[in-house]
Parts: sequence; structure tokens; C-alpha cells
Amino acid sequence: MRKTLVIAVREFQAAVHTKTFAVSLLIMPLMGSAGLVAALVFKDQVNVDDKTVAVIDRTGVLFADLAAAAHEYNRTEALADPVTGDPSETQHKPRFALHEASPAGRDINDLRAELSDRVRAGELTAFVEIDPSALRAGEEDDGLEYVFYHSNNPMYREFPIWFNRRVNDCVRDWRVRQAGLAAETVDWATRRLRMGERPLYVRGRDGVVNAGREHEHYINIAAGVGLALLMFLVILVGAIPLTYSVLEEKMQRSAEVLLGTVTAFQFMMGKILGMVGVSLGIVTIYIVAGFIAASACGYGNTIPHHLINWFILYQAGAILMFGSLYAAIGAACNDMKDAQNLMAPASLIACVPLFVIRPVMLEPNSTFSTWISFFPPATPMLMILRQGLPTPVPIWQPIVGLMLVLLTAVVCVALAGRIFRVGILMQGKGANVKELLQWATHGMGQRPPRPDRRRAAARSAS
Amino acid sequence: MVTTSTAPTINTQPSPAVTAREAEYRRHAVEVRSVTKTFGSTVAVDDLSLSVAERTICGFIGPNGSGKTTTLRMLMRIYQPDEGAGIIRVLGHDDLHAPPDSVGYLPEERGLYKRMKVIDVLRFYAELKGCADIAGVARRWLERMGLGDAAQKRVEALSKGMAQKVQFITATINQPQLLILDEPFSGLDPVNADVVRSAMLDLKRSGTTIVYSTHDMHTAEKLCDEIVMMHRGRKVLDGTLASIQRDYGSDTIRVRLHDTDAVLSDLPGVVQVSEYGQLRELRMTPGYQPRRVLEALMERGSVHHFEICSPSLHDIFVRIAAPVSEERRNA
Repeated sequence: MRKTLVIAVREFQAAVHTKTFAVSLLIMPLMGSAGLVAALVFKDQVNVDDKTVAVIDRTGVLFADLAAAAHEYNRTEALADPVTGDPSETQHKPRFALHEASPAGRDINDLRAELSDRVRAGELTAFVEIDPSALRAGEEDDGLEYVFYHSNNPMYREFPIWFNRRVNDCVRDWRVRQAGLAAETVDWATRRLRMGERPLYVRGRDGVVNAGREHEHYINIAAGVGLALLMFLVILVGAIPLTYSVLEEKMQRSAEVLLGTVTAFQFMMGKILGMVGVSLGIVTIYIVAGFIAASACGYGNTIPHHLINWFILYQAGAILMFGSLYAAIGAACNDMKDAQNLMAPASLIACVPLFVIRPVMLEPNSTFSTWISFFPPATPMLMILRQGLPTPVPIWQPIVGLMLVLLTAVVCVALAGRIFRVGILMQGKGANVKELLQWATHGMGQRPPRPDRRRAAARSAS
Repeated sequence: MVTTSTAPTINTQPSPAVTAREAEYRRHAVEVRSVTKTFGSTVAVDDLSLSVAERTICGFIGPNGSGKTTTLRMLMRIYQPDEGAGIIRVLGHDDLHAPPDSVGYLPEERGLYKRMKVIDVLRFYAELKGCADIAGVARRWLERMGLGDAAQKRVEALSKGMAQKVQFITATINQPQLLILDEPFSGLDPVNADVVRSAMLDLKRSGTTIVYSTHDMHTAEKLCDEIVMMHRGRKVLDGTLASIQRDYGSDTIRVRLHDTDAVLSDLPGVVQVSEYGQLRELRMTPGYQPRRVLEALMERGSVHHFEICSPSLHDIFVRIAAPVSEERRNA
């Protein structure tokens, strides 16, 4: 253990006593902040070109109301201040220009084809066709569609959403008029209620029931998501350099010098523990900085301390797991190109939690979320994410998850140690996946003698 | 034969038989018995047995690919011998997984952390070896090797020879009982080679056993107490220089003639002529008559030097290794 720690300390010092470490320490939060700032700056940067849409109103009665609604929209929303809602001279959203495409006297299919060509040519944004029976439909939901939106840009949603709402308003108004009802009465009868979202109530030690603090939910969620993403970044920053570090030692031929003093396993573990130290150093700096920032903003008492302890444990386990994997890759390869080929699948494994963040956040205790968070490579990030959400996670789950992570880390380190032992002195052609599996399971060539055979050989020799 | 008791009693005192056996092993710093090492279908070391007495210098010679480095790496536990294939005992230990701290190792492939300072490199290796008084030992070694001014320099700023000397220090910094050196003189100029050779002799005098591989036959002849030659993974020579030469007999005549171009291959009893410019060595058939050879030489001109001698280590090396080269050329 002493030798492993000596190597770990050297690795730690070699990693942190560089300008690149200091720069990368600053770059991560700077890039994160820059991304947030960019998102805020550019969130309102929309294309304000008019959206010209042709409408085939086969009911013959709706277009006028729709055109009026579009005009009102242009006046009150496209030209309104996005914050105050007051009329503005500056356009903030695209205006909607509706043109009637009358089907009277024309073959409907000819008209559809002509409008489609105009959309393709860029003259129109889209065209909408309202079914002739749209006004009669809906007495009972027949499951049919009566309004059809045609465009070659399905990602643009603002106009179709607006139009769907407005065409229904227009149909409702027409039906109200047809029924002879007072518009005010109908407005009152159909007016929707607003629903606010609040946290759960909590009973204090004095027995008084209080409403939960509204922003605490969001701070916990933000902390969980932030810590999960920080963990991902630190895995990349902490584990991937191990590949390059091992590869560099292999290329510089300095590995064999060390192997004359320590075992391959001690060598690899020392390097991995050094990087665990670097990673924990990085997260400590960020977490302390986060505490200071939160306290300065008056949120010091809302920091979820319990998450931090779990985070540190999971972070160490994740680096052990991925670090051994990346160290083995470095030992098995002979140049950067080989290493990059093998690192791609390893990095994909690290990305698994990112692919499932959304479903896990929406249903943190669903069967899927529970099981995926027991998949060891994903456990550290997903468990922290779930623990940050307001829905409580049964305590046994993070405990079992952590045990699984540590167990997997031990297996990874053991298998990687075998690969490392064989690969670290191997020059020439890099290993393929089949060879790596063979090394991991059997080492290279013959295995070392079993102790009983060695004793027998010793006896015969003496 | 050592017998072990099956009685369920715990005896903390080693049995006399075991103690005697360990004492025997301790007289040999290195003990190798019937060791084989294969890489895939290639047999790198084939049924090797050898022993190296304590406080001696043992030279490993042999052509490239003969198994020297593989053997040294097995001694260092970097490679493990094939399953069931013999034993390797180093300083009395036969644990196949951990190199003892009392063994120093200088591998053939040199490599140090380039961005570290020399003193930090030495401190690092000294800590790994559990060395006490690291600063004092490092300073003494640096001065001993003529690197007193280089302590604060980064490794990348050193010349090749200086870096090699630093690496030599890393292998010897804890005054090892056994020092294993793979080609310690390769790449060194004569001055630095002398420094390293002198350090090796000092270590031997202070009790260190040294095993080293080399292609430099001249140095091996002068430095080694014992010589082991490997060839195609097998040991083909083992013993002192004198005993090896005795085995080959005095079948060599060294001559210097006035006429340096004179043809000598047709002299009676000559098997091979080796040219060294002014000097030529004649390898003779067993039972040759030196007098007849001298007479034949004098018939061809003035003879300035005539010496009956044993073959040099270089000559013995070439005699063993050359047929392989010949076979490879013919292949």
C-alpha cells in the first residue's frame, strides 16, 4: 500500500502542478457560465420574418375570423414588448400573414399541389386546409381530424400551435352564434382556472404545519442535476487523462523502470488513486465555490448537504471504475490513434446516464429509473440525480447502488490490472478487443505456476 | 528432500532442515531451476537453470533475441515463467508477484519522467524502495556519478549519458543486495562507462551481487566473476572466464606479420582466420602442431608476433552465435 500511495502522490502532484490543470479548472466553470449566458442572450434571437400561410377554408365562414385573429396577434404579441406586453415599435416575433386560397371552382387536388409547390419554392411557410364538415364535427368526439397543416418544416411549431387554438376559438364562436347564446355567458362558463404548483407541507418540531419553501425544490433539483453533470465532467477530466498518462509512460519506456520496483497492479492502482485525488480536489474546489456563491446569494441554508456526502463517495467510485478502464486502454495501445479507437466505446458507456436524464427526472421512482440507476456505470450520476429530486428515494437504493459501484470498481481494477500487466511492456501492434478479453481473463500465454506446483518444483530442485 | 509435518501443531521455530536450506539459498543471490517462458508459440527461455553466487558480478551475454532480457525480467517478476515450469528464487524469495525492495533494476529501455527534477526523481524512487535519509543518499550518489550540479535540473534538460547515470542511481539508491542491469553501458561514452563500471565495482565490494547483460565482451571479460551465455533461449555457457576458456583449450594463435596481406587460410591445421587489421587470429584444429604453423608462417615472411592463447570471449561468442547468422542468411 505504501508504494501505491507513493505513486498516487506523484501522479497527483504531476497532474496539479501544471498550468493546464489550473487553466482547465477555470475553463470548466467559465464555459458553463458562457453557455448559460449565451442561452440567455440568444433565447429571444428568433427569425422575425413574416410567416405567410395560405388557408383553404372549405367551410367558407372561418377565414375572416382567422384573419382578424392573426391581425390581433401581430398587434398584441409580435409587436409587443416581450417583458411588459406593451405595444412596441420593435418586432419580437414573426407576424402571421394569412391568405385565403379559395377552392371555389377549382379541383381541390390541383389547389393542394399548387400550394405545396409554393411552399417548396419558399413563397409560403405552409398552407392549412379546413375540412368542410369542421363546423359540424365535435358533437361527440369521433377521433377524426378536420384541420390539416402542411409544411416542409415540421420543427417549426409556433404557428401550428397558435392556429390550432384560434381555429377552435373561431369554430366555438360560430357555434355560439348559431346557438343564439350570449358571448359573455359562454366566456364565463368556459373560462379556465389557473393552477399553481407548490411544495408539500411540513410539520415542524413544534407541531405547526407550514408550507414547504417554494424555491427549495428547485435548488435541490438544480443541485442534483448540477452534481450529476459535474460528475460527468470530472469523469472525463479525471479518467480520460489516465489513458494518455499510461500511454505516455509506455511510449517513453518509463513503465519498466517502475515495474522493477512495484507490481503492475500497484503501478496501475497508484495512478488511478492519484487521479481519484485530482478529481476529488477538483470537485472540492467547485463545491466550496458553489457554497460560497450560494451563501452570498442568501441560499446558504438551502444547500442539500446530504447530497454532497453521497456525491463524494460516488465520484470516487466512478473514477475507480472508469479510471481502471481508461488505464487498461492506455496499457493495451501503442499510439494515440489506437487509444482513441478504444476510448470511444468507453466514453459512450460514461454517456449512458445523459441519455436517460429526462425520463429519470420525470419519473424518478419508476421501475425503469430504479433499474437503470443500478447499472453500475450509470449509478453514480443517476443516483445523485434522483436523490436531488423532491421525490424521496428509499435509502437502501443509494446504499446498494454504492456497493454495486464499489464492487464493479474492484472487478474493473482487477481485470484492468491483468490487461495492464500484459500490455504495459508490449510494443508493436496494439491489442484488439478479442486480445484484451483474453488478457483480462487469462493473462498472456501461460499463467503463473500455482503455489502447490511451485512448492513441488522447489522440493525437486532442492 | 524436505519433508513437512502434517501434525496440527503450530511451531514458530523453523526446522533445522528448512534453516539449512534457506542458508544454502542465501549463498546464491539468484537461483533459477528449469524455467521456461513462452510467448505464444515462441519459446523465449527454454529450461534455464543457473545460480549466481552472492557478492559476485555475473555477466549475461548472448546475441539479440537470445532470452537475456526475458530472463532478467523474470528475475524482476515483471514476467512470470510458464505454469509449472521450474522455480526462480531471488535473495531467498520465490514469490512470483512482488519484486523485493532489496533488488535494484536498470531496464534496457531507459525512461524517466521527463518533466521532473533529478532530485525529485531520485526522491520518488527512494521512497518507493523505503530508503532512509533520502536527501543524503541522493546527494552522495549524484556527487559520486558526477551529477552534483544536475540535482535541480529537469530530466528533459539532461544529456543522454547524464540521464542514464540518473537512472543507474535510481536502481542503486537503496544500496540493493542484488542489482540487475540490462545493458548498462549501451549509449555511454568511455568516460561515463568508466564511472558506471567503477560504481558497479564499489557496489560489489560493499556486498551487492550484480547481474548484468551486455554485448560488450571486452568489458565482460574484465568485470565478470561469472559469465552466462544464452543462445536461442538456452544457456550454452556458464562459469568463470578461465573455466570457459579452459573448455575451449588453447586453440588460438595470434600473429602479426610484416606482410599484412599474406594469405593464411591454407596453413596446416587452420580452421578459421579472423582479421583485426595488424593482428590476425588463427583458430586451429585440435592437436595442431604450433611449431609447424610457426615454420609455415616464417616461410611467408617476417613474423613480428606469435602467441598461443585461449579464445577470447568475443571469439567464443562468435563461434556459438555465428552459425545462426549463417543459417539466417541462407534461409
